[in-house]
Amino acid sequence: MRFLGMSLATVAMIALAAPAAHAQTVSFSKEIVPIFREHCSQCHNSRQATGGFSVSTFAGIDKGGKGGKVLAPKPEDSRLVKLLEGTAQPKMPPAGPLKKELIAKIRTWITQGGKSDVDANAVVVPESSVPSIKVPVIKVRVPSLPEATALAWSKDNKFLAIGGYKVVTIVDPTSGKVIGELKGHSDKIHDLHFSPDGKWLAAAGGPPAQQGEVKLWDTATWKEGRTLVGHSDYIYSCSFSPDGKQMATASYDKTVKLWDLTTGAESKTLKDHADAVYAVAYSPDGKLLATGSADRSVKVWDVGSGKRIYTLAGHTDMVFDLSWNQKGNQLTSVGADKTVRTYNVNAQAGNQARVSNHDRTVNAVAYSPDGNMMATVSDDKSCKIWNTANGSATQTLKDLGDGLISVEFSPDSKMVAVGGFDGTVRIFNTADGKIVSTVIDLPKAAAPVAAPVAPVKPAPAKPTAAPKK
Amino acid sequence: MASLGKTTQGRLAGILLASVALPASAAPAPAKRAAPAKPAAPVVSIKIGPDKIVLDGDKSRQRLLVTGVRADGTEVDLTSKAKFTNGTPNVLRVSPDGVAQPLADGTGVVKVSAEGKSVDVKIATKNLATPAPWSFSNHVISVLSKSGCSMGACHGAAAGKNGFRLTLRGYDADLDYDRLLHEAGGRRLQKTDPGNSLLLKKATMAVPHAGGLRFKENSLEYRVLAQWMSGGMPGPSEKDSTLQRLEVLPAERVLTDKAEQQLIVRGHFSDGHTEDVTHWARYSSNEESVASVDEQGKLKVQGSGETAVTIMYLDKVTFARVTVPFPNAIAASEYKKLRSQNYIDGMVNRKLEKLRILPSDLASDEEFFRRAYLDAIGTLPTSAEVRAFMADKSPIKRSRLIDQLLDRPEYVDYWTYKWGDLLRVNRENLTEKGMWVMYSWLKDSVANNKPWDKLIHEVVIANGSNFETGPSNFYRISRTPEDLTETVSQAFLGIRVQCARCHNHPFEKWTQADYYKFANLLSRVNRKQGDHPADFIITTASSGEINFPKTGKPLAPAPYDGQPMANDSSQDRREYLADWLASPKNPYFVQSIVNRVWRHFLGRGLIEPVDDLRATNPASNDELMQAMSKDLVDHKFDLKHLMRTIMNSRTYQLTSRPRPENKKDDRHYSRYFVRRLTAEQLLDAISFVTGQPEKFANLPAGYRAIQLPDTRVANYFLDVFGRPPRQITCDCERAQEPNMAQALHLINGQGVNQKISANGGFVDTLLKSPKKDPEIIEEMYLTCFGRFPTRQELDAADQAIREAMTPPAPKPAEPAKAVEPAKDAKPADPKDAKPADPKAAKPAEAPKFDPVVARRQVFEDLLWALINGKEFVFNH
Repeated sequence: MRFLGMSLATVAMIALAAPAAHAQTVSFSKEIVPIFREHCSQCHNSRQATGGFSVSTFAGIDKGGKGGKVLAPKPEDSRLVKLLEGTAQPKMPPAGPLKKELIAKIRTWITQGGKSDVDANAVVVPESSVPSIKVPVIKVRVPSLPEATALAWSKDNKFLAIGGYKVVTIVDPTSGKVIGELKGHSDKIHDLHFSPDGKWLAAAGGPPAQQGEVKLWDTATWKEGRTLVGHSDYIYSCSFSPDGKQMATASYDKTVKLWDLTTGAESKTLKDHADAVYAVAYSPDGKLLATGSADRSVKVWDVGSGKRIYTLAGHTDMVFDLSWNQKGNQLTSVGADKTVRTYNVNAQAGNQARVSNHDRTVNAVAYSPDGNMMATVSDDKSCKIWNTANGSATQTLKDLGDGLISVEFSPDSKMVAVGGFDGTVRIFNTADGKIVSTVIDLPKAAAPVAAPVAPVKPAPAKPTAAPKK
Repeated sequence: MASLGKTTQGRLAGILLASVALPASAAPAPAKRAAPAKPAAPVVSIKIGPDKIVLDGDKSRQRLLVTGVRADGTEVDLTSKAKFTNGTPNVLRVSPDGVAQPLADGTGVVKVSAEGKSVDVKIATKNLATPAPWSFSNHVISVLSKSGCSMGACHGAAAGKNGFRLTLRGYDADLDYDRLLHEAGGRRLQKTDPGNSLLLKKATMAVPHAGGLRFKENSLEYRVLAQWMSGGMPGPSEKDSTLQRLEVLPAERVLTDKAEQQLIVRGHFSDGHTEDVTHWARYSSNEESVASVDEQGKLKVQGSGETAVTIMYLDKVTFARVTVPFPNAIAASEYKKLRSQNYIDGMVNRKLEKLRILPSDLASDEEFFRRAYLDAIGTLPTSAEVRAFMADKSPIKRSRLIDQLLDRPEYVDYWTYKWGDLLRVNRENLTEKGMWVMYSWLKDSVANNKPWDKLIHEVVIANGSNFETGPSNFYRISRTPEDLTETVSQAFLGIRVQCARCHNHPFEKWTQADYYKFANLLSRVNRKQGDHPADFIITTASSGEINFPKTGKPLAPAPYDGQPMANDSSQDRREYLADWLASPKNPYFVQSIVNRVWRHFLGRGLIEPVDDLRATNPASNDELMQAMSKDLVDHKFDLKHLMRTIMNSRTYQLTSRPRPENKKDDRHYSRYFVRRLTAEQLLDAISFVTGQPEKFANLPAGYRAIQLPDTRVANYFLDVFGRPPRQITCDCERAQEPNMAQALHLINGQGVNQKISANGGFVDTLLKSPKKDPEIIEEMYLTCFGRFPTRQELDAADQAIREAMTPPAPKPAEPAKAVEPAKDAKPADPKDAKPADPKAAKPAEAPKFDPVVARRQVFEDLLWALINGKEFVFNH
């Protein structure tokens, strides 16, 4: 028995040693990096570094993660190999084990010393490299419009920008004519803002669960300017600082980032929220920053230090949007708890001043430029216009499509534009609630095409949503 | 008993405990074995299920179930072995595993072959011209549920996961639709580019997903979602057909060891159509040790016994019953020989035959006698009663005893206590005054053998002062409609409805709406303070509703599966509830009490847990449950009648000793299942056999534990042995599990030791009587075990006494110890106890030998050993 055990062990050792002896030298940069890039970098990159582990540089790989080093002189002692082979938890990658040949390659590389053939700090998996995703094309048989996710109305009343899916549509709010379409976005647009000087239009979004992006468009030429790339998920909200020099972004990745717009560089990351951050806005004086999150809180930050000053509690469910009044002494937030909450705020503290309701989730809020009104839109298919002096609803615009997702006042405060989940955009008079125009209407009702049952086509060779670098 | 006593105890325990375990007796010889199991009979024909197959619409599908019928009539699943040949490829297609899908209107034929037999199956197809969209409520919800997205550990958690939330198993389709389409800016779906939807990218792991791969791009799951999205993502609609019931094939099957069985599940919808939902249903086996089931409904036998497989789809549930007979070879003639004393026995024996188990023999008179006392009146018989019963030669003495027991005053104490647990009679909730009022009412009810339906009816409609009307206290213990709903449901109906307070019950048919309809029956209870500040007056309010959380509006009050109250009804809602509840027509009510009483006497409910009656938790013997329920209803809820019937059955009177053919049975009543005495029974028993009643604070001397009005009378012993605090309505509140504190308390607890050695106690009194030693031993055995000692036990005790009465020899000095003959090896011979070498060193200080003390000690030790014997602590 003992003899048998010994001889088996010997056989195993020979078997293990054999491939190594004949294998050619494995190149880290040419053979190992592609494996990491394809199978690991979605989670273990320099931005996200799940478990404290990043494969963006050899130094990062060598350093290991929270669980310690992942490389070892012998492959069987390497945590990396154990995780890949499923002998340690959690099995990696989560999508399912790597092909045996790939693991064998990593084993060989480790046996050969596990060294890099490029500089250890050289970025081998670039931060901005979002793996391109191949997804099947599913043809739509019932025509529909993408959600009118965001609206921005230029101060000179020349443009109304409308966010959609991968496209921002610029229309003339007076005539309703389409001026142009801004293409090249990775996915849904979640927020739109004209810069304080009107020269730029910022469009926030990014491929979800991959990265966040804000594209800046030159409003004179409608040429694409800089793209701010950061976050590991959708950017749901962005805000220009009043002086136009900074931008704040809020993302599903639970963080808020501040950017220097002169250089396009990220300057700070604010990490106090426990869940997705859906809203961010500078105070009119530019000193404070307010954020609203799925963690049910609204937080107010000092822009200079990046420190949180206080948290406004009250919401009992996710907060989806917030807005400052023109004076900067009130802040209103809305969310899934169906409420509209207005707080009196200053640089030290804030307290809830008023609560009103919709019947369903409230998705967006905006103050009118003259400061007299506030508009909120909801899943309940209504837009309510509130008198900011006494909090009463002066208008309730009802039965608008499948519910509303975006709202924006005209510069003269006489009109309000609302965007729906059905993709329509309508403009109403704030005074009497009468419709002024339908900027985007539903597609002509085409009878649903009776399509036969056919299996979904396999993924096309070309990625359909390949984000731009 | 001082330190010396302990030494003796150790020695005595060694002698006695072995024999005390259970009366020594040879195990019955195994029944005559039939010839070893023959190889399975050949398959003579095959049949296909379901009977009539209509594939209606392009989305329909049906898996064919192939069953082989053997020469001996038994059936075997051949689904996975069968070959399916498509005779009409223009009408339908059929996959290698037997799933038929339509292609064009007409009639298709599939030839199914297995085990050398074949059969042609006709399948009608229709409505292929107008493709139907996938429905959100029925299909999309099913994908999200079956793929695990909406399960409790993932996005179905109340807070969701990573910001994405769904309702648990999709119980609220409207909310799920809103969240999928709208929440987080429409994050999850792309209307105009469905393939790029995050929902699909996450589920297929095209992007990182902490929940892992849920389905692949070429899966049916993906196809359903893709086609639904490309069809414009229609939401839930009132026009959606709703699932009415589930049907499973086969619903019942006897399987042999290692067999497999495919289940087919069909959903019957409100618009009359039927869908094969085998792929979408969720499965779980109630007893994994009997059969396991995979997520496609394939069963695999793991061991012998019986189990139900729970099947869940959308908001409906059903079950399939699987029986795997034990590998005992028992001739059919063995079962013909079995005798029965009433209808119970025939039904139990039929089940045993099906499972190939043989019942044990009838219990001896002694066994039966002690058991009957403990079960019926919670009390041990006296030695005189045992002697009288043994001497009685009447053939009907057992049933006569049963009648006598049910009429004893202890019956009233014991069963009042039992129902006090159920109704949570407890001074902490009721104040002492309220508690006594409720207790007295309950005790009167038991004394008068008030029919169970009447008793519960009184509780439900109770009004009045807590200090005057006993049952009104029920509304003091439970104060909110929700609490009342849960209490009434579990205590009187055996329905555990708690889950449905927040969402549809995940493995039962009760929906959140059912819960709030029921709760609304209990929404009009008024409590106002009475004359005494601690008294409350319960009245019926003229208004009051409880809102259904989903709509914020009340639902029409209605009992489970029952008619809602008319809108304009002026009837007291509690009266409406009570009339429905405590009714012979209410199977939950009847079965719940039958199950409780049966479990009390047999040690295991037909349904376990005893208060968990569920569509997916069937009785282990349905026939018996139905028969006893009918019997109870026929006898107008007379519980004594039910008890009498049970106790008179041969099943109840079987010995607890197993035989080889039922050793592994722990639920089909092939023998009496042994169980530890309850805390109260045990304390009373110890007090009884030591002649030392327990003293309870503020209660008269001589009060027994089963007479206590509630469980708030301080007593460490009762707490250690698992007396329930009566805080929650659950039979599980009483702890019957053993623990170290119990063992230590019996072995060396102050309370027990003091009782054994008390002056005026049992031992003291016996020793002072003129009785001789053997008589005293006999008296002790009769009192503790309800039987005479065996010859062997008498000898052992006698020997211990002789040994103890021999003055101890001087102890040898330390060095001599090594050569001292092993005294413990042969303690039987007193001569050996003498010093082997008289010249050994002198004893240091020999304790003075007192024969009176020694005699008392040895008898105390004997009583201690008996109390610590399994035969004492257990009801058997």
